[in-house]
Amino acid sequence: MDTRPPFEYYKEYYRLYAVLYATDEGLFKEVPDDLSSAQIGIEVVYRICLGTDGGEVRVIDFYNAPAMDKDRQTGGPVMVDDAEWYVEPGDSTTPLVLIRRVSGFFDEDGLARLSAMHAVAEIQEGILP
Amino acid sequence: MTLSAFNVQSPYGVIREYRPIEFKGFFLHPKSDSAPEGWTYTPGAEPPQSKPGEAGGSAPYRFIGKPPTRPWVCYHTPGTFLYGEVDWRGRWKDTDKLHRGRYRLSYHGPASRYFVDPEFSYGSSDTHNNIYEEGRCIAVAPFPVLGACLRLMQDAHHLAMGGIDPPMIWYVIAVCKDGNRDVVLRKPRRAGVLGPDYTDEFRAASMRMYDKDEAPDGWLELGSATLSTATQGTNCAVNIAKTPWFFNSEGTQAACVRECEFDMDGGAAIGTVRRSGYNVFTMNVSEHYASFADLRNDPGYGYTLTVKTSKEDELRVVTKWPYTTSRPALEHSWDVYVVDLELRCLGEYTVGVDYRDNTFVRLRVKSDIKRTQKQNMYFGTDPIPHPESALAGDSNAGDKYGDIYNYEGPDRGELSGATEQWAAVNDKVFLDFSGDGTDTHWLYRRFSGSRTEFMTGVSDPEDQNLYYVWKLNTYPHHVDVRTPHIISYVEEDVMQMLAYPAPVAHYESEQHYYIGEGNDYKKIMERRIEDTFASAGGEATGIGRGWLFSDVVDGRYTIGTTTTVSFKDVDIPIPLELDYDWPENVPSLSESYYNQIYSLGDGMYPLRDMLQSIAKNVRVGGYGVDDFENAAVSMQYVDHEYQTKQYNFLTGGDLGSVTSADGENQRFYKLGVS
Repeated sequence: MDTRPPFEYYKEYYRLYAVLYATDEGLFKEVPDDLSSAQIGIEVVYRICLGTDGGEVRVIDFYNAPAMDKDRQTGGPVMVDDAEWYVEPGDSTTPLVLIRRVSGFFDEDGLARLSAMHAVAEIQEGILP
Repeated sequence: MTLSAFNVQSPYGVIREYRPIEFKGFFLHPKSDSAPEGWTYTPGAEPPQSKPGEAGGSAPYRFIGKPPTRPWVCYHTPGTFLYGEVDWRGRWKDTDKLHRGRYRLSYHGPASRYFVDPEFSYGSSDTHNNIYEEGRCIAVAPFPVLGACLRLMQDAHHLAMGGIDPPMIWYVIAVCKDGNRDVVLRKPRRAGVLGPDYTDEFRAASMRMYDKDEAPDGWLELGSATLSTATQGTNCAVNIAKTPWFFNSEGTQAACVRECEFDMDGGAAIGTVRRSGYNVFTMNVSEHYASFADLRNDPGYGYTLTVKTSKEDELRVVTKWPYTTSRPALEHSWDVYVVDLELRCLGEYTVGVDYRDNTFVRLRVKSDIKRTQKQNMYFGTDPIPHPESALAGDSNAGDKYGDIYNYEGPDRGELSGATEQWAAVNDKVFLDFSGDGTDTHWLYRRFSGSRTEFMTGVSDPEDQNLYYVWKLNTYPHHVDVRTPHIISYVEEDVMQMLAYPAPVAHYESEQHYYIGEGNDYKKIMERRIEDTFASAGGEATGIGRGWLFSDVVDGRYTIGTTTTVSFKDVDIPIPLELDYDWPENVPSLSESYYNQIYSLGDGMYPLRDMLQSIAKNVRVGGYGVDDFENAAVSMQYVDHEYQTKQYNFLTGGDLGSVTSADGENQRFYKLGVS
């Protein structure tokens, strides 16, 4: 019997994340000046996009707990590459800016194929941004 | 292509940083008359309450903070915070996020910060070895800590392994008192402990000296010295440390003032005298060694006494002599002698040092004393008998008159006891926080003059000749030149020669000056002591009598000459030796102020006594200024009715309200700043 782990077909293409702070008062995108709590700064992932060398892409989104602003309010636009992705319900107007980090796993050709397929998916399946 | 979504917290998060709770503000220990042990503790309560600071207390210690642009907030925090009286301010943690404040440490030391506290002695408690950061003890040194700071340096372990581009880590640097030796140590900064975890085991582990294998995080000695002033060529003994070292914000330099005893050359007038003084030392700290330097002190105070004697033109005046209505008015002749005296004292002396960020700051006592006196003396020169009178008694021959009283406004045409003369005292001795005279605070003040010269500058239309004396002594409880901030006890005597006997009004007060609150002193308490009365004889000018006439004519000094004597000292205001070693040809101070009823010199203390008097300086309490220039003071004092009271001050707030405290005589010490 073959006990080797299954072949990993998909590799991480990119991820979208924001650094949020977990505190005694909850999750913050901006830490209030008067916060008196220990803080853990976490790269909270909102999207992971997987891909293959052949250009197949697979997108996994996470709806994380809403993060608060300096005034302890939730809500506001979620931004990717200067574009609004969606708006979280709430009174806050402070944007949550996500950072896109592309994996260094794929070579130039692989990245080109993934980019092309991702563009198609954005149009056909509405995975904006 | 597959698209999926999960409404859970992403399991792919990566922890980027961990930041322990940051306390920026003030640690307080609230108490009141009804809760003397602490705010939430009621003796005998059922079920028994935890004392403040013990784990499990409902609201034991409190912490208040006021970040910029925010109101005061209070945290009823659990646990026992640890902190000391003296603090070090480091660099800002994040210049883009100033609300995070600065790196700060605290350690134990005298309550006044810069001056010797007779009730504090390094080594009298084990806690004197501790170094605290934000309520936690982060290190215990092997000796009492005189000064401490944090410094970002290359990780020595990586250097030891020959690593390339070693990471920067925080080290704790401490100056410690090992007997009469000052030792500089460093160790990597590690997480601190709160009170319950401050155990013998923690102390023992934290106190260990560096050992490559057994204690790689232990203390490493960077240098040591027995502070000496040998290069000054004087017989100088540097006393053991009683006041702290202070580091700059980067932890690269430190400075201290150390008491010393030395022989001082005061000049020909007073010769060599033994003095208690201060000496300034500094230290440069590199990553691997510390080196000490003797910065000496300022030259001290230079005194110049100038006495000018002259004989003026013969004075001829028609009057009755002696003053008897039965005698005729005759023209009498007088020889007139004038004595002018001026005593000047100018100079400065460093009594404390500190750093504003990385700028070295001296706390100096500056002196600008000016005492002047002018006195006319008259010698009768009529023939015997007087040409216009056969009565021998109508001749003034051999009669001598000196001006007895030194007050303004004499009748110049009348040859009574008081004729033309003037006298003034203008002693200015002050603490200079700024180095350039822009922020000064009286230590001594003596002033005498007419109303036009005194305080208001407005003359009294009813009596232009009113004479005033103002005497002030200040005893600082707590000083911080970084902020700046001073809280002090003041004695003040004011006399107005309105009537005889002249009342002398005595005031005592406690006052607080904090630059963040403006340039005015806030008077915490003022107590007026019952008036005393100067003599009905009229000597109530504060100057006393002038020289005796016999001093002029007995040849002790030569008419028509100017005598100048210079000397120097480090005591304020008048060296004691001067009464004994005064130049022979100049009237001495005691003779000058002969037979004084009320003396301006009353209550004058040597400089050191002013700065560390047990009775007047020590106040139970706590003081602090946080990173955002908020000040907190909670101090015990005796009010105008001699009741023990508490002065509680908080910038832009009220300590009682912010902490939701109630009860009589609330107090909030011990108090720590973070």
